[in-house]
Amino acid sequence: MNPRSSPSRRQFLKGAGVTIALPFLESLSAAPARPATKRMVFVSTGLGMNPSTFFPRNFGTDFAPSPVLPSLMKHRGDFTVFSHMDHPNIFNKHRGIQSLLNGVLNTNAKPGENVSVDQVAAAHLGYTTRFPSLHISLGAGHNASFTPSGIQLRQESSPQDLFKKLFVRDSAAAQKARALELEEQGSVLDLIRAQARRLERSVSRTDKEKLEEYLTAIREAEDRLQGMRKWQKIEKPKIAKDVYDPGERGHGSLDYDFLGPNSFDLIALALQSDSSRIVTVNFGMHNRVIELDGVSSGYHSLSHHGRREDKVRQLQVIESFYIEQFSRFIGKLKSPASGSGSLLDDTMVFFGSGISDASRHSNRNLPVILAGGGLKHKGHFNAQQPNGRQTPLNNLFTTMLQNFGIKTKSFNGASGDLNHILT
Amino acid sequence: MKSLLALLPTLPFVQAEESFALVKPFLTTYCVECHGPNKQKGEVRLDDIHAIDGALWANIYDQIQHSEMPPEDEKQPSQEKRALIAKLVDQISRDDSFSISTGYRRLNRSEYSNTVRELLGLKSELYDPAARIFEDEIDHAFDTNAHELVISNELLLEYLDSAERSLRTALYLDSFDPPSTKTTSFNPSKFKGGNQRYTTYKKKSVVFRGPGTLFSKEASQKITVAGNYRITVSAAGVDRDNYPIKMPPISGPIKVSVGSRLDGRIGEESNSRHIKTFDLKDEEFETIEIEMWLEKGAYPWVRFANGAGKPAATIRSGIRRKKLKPSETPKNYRGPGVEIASFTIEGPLDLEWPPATYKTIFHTDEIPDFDKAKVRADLIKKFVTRAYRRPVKEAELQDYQIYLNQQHRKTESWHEAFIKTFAAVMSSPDFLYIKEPIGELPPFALANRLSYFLWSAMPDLELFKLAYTEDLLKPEVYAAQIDRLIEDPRSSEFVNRFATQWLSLDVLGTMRPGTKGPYKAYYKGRYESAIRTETLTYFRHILFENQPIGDFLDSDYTFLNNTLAQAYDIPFKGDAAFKKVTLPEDSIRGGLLGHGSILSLTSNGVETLPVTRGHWVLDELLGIPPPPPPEEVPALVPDLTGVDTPRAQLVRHREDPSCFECHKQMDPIGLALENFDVIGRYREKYEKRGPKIDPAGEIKGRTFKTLPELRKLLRAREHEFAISLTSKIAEYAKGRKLNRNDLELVDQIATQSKADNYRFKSLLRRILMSKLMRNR
Repeated sequence: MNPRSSPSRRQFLKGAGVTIALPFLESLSAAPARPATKRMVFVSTGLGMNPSTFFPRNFGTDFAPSPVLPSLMKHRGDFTVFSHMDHPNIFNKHRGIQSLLNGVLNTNAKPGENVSVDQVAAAHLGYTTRFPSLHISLGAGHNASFTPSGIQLRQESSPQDLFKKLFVRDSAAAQKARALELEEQGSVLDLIRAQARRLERSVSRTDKEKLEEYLTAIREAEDRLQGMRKWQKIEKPKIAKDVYDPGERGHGSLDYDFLGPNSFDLIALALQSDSSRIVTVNFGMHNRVIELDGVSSGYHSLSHHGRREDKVRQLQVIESFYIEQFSRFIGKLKSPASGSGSLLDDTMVFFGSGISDASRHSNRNLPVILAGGGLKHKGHFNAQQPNGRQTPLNNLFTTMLQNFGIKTKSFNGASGDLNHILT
Repeated sequence: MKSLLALLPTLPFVQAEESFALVKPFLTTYCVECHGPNKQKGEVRLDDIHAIDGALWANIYDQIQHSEMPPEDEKQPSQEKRALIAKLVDQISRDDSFSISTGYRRLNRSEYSNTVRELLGLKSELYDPAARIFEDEIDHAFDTNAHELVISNELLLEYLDSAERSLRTALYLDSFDPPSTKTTSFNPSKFKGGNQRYTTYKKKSVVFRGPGTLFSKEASQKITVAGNYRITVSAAGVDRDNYPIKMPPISGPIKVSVGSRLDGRIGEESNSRHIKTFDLKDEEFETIEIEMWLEKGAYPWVRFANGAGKPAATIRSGIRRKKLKPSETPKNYRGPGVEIASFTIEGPLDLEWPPATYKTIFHTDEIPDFDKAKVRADLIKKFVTRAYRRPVKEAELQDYQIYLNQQHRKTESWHEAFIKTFAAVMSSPDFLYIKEPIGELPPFALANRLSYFLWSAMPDLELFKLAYTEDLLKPEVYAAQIDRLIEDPRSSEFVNRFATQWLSLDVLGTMRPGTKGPYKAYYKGRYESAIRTETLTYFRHILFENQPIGDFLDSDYTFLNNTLAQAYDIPFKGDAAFKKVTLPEDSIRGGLLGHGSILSLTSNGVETLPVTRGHWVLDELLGIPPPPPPEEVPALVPDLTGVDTPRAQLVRHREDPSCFECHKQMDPIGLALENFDVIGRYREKYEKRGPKIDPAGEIKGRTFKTLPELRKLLRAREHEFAISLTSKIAEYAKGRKLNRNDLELVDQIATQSKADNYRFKSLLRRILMSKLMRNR
């Protein structure tokens, strides 16, 4: 592949997929030095956003906020709310939340074909940072992040554990043991490669593909080990107690008032310390009672409000909370200046859900907000195309990847991009 | 086109590989636009010709042969071309080497876990060898499907990591001297854990009043050898009446639970299990004794089993209701609790030496003499043979020999070097994959097929021996082994894993109802577990008692415990244990359609879904799934405020001709089940004042008035059901979708089964004896 040429989508998928090892799409990152350090954060909700309280009534920069948006309005000009955007191939109701970040029907995707937008960026950077990406779950539930090899990533659900992972140094003995372990796993890979090669001579055509899958896994695992080894030798950043106190306060998995701010504060610190540049945060799908004032029924039950006023009101409390957390996080990113601008200028913060109106399991017209990233924001933007269709959400992701510094024309079947709007 | 036609005369001799070359451009031209990487209409994709399985090839044949695809408004092939391609596709769909997906099947998570346990002699206790392995992602197939069981770098690294952990759990000795039985006392006033707010530390005892477990931190360090340990505890229930209001337990004795736990690494969840709960006397110490298996590093814990879950909330609510003084704060809570005055651990009891894991791994009755090169070579050979589940060649062992020596040079410990080397063996493709060659299975492949099918685990010694002597290929020997494996307790793996996936019982718990509101009964008396147990017990009964499979569709019995009998409103004498219950005539229960599990998993925790229920019956039960709906159809908008019933909504929906064909099959079944609510209880009406629910309907031209009548109509379709069930079992066993040849065998088996009313165990034996089982 010529590193100067823009790879086609097919090449791109192939590159992201199982057929090329993880030196993380080097061939795709043409420019030797990126102009700025770009970051991406994806915030998602498990049961959509009630369209009647989410979408503002009028378009343009001076739009009037909808019932759940007021807390975000102090950042007017720093974000765009999109109407009429979705994944044209996703019709699978609740499972749509797992397609939010790739726009692909995961059930039918082969390994490598359902890579999510965050993982394209993470693979691009590889172990440039200690963690190629971070994934946080609030209230439990599936996330929408799929690696280039098709694995659905695990999530952290406790701020304490996340803090340890990011900032607490392991004991010297543990570090030494870990270094040794990484070293030895490398030699085990050599050994089993030899075993697999021996098998290769004696297999049929269909079996060859399976064996190839295994050999690819070995190759990619080696690169991964190399990345981990590199960071094993570097100290974790230190965080002063007055900046963040991990505390010992216990909390339930539904104590959103505690989990929300604590998780987002840690994410901001992770970005500031350059521990990672790619983060996803997911408010999960479940039917338990979220511990917020004014909420007394299970989340899923509320999303099936059947237009009952009391249920719609409770749902609005929850959804307003999501937006408040999103807004508070944007505020955090704005405050510390990094060189010429704030962290927000380099960070694209996406908010959305793979389901729109959960009361009827619709995957059409998804709720979408994009903030920051040094893009030209448009207030409330109508993304309906002249032919009446919705704009594929992957068009927005294409623009985000380009802004991130990845040369791609189209992410997962996008019909174009939104550069003409946002750049 | 001309060149294609020119090939026609030689068609019978064209090999499938050549057929591929001709079919591929056809699919690319006419099909891939809607069934390719960008769109997958009907969830079908045809762009990768090698990924198309036998069932799909058969489907493609039907579509082309009967001119159903491409759709009328799309570009059409000529008649000649259509006929030629149909013929080629038919040929492919019958050719084993092309209609069968890969013969390399990665062990799935359960199989991996069971296999590691067998291989290392690990007990099925706290340690789970697969705990850190990624979940298998399986779509529209059983978790034995070779094509779906992919591997990736992330997963491979987890296998490396888990293999070493398992070996360290199994080969844990620091010294080869047999330990003696010791008794150690632990001071309860030093116990940790629980919620400190609700724990009172006294000089030599501890009182715990809240949730959570208490344990001694030192205990885990004292357990240096895996074995049985006796725990002796002196405990009493205390402080029952310190408040003017009743605190839990409202009635009956204060109870204490005892269990064991094994901690993971930092940031990982620990494995814990409850072992037994004891009744205590109020204010009087009693001695409790319990034996438990503890792995090295595991430790016992105690918990207040029936206390207040949230004492603070109870206190606050008491103050709000003016039953308690506002000065009462949760801080110095002194409600009912369990007091522990002494705690001792004695063990290991009846010590096995060397430990069972050593005997299994090294295949010997004594600790081997690692210093002898010949002994070492022999140990490697034995272990690799068992791990690979087939005879090994010397050449395959050399790498491991070299690796063992390398590791010894690093650590100067053969014990340590063996851990490392065996961990490598357990990461090799030969261990992680089951391999089956095309055609009739050779003895070792057959032994593996049989044991992974029925036990989800590696073959045992007896099967290995019969494979080695090739006696397993003799029909009478093979038949005897089938019976032995079915009757072995390990066949519960087949019952649980097959039934769970066949009936989608794994969906239970993913869409639970609210903890408050109309379905809160779901959270009482372990309801979710009870509905699952009912169905699994029912399956087990039909199989092991060799009952007709028609009982799945309609019967006059089920299995209940007190929780379920209450929810189903059926008279019952008994406790939480399940018993067979004969149902009254015309009972709304009977057959799977009356099971709380099926009715809950086809609801979404909020509403019943008649279409989903109808679809479940057609797809999972009868094996005739209706096609997915056209994408453009908007979902029904539920209206809980008005009087728009689901039936009225569906009737309107069916007026659309594109929906009519499928919905006329699904809806009547789903609507007939509307008398069951979201969690499977009987209801007469949706709302108190609403009209009565009418279950009547019509399927395939036959009308029914009640659910029992519908069940009789379904049971009359027993043969269809037998074909469906046989196909599913064969798919599960073979780890792939079936092709045309397989489906013909399925038909034969179903037809043979007619004579004995489709009795389940006989049917299963027939499948196992047939080529479905004996061939790849």
